[in-house]
Amino acid sequence: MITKDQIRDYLDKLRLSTRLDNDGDIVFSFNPDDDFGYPVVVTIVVENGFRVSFMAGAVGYEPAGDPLFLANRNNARRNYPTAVVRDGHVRMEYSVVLREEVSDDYIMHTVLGQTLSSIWSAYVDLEKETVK
Amino acid sequence: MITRDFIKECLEILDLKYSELDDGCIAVSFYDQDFFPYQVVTYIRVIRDELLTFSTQALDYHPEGDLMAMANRHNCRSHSPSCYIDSDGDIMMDRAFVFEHEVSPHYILNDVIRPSIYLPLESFVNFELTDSEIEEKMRK
Repeated sequence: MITKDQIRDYLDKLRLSTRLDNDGDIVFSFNPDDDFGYPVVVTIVVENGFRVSFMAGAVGYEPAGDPLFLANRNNARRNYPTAVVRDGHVRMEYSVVLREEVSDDYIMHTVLGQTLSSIWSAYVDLEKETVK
Repeated sequence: MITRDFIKECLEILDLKYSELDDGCIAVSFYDQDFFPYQVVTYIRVIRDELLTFSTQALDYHPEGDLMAMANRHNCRSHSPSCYIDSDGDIMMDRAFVFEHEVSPHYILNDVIRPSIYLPLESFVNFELTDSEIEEKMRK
């Protein structure tokens, strides 16, 4: 059983500042930089005590190119997150099921740290023909 | 750390038949005419003892329609597995897990391997259905 408070504590330990939205879900934001010039807002939802879901959008970002093609290319070359097109916008989504026992480090570094980092990288690379 | 031997052990616990391919990949194959009339194969790879990937394909399954739009529809309703259309026009269903930190064997068996075999099967069965058709199917 995992709770929203636990997830928020792990994010605090990773020194990632979060807030709660109106639904009480955890929100983490990436600031724009030279690699990607739009803020990326990630909502983290804990469902039923065992599923941690990530839903991300880049505020104001309209990719140059067919969103379906770009999302498909992301999904073909990245293990995660999954790029989905909703209302013409490319969003990054991912979820992890934690019914069975895992270590704190796995939740903190793999489930949270790596997923958040991958979401940012996915936006950075979305329009690139090739990625490293 | 995760090993091919442990994956094989889990597949045996799940009573799943598998074959080992020359490239080191483990393949699990399903065919049930009534459930889905194409052979569905999941290729399992262990990379550097810490990355476990599942890539599932339905052999000779080429539905009509805009495949990228259909893949996106699948991903909007469930991004596990993640669906994409590869360069050959084949529909792929993928899942991947990184194991740099400790997890229990039960986690790998029940939260990783079991759903990575069964969820893609269900995804292929539902691939051509609209959301309302799936809802109706669930009601029956």
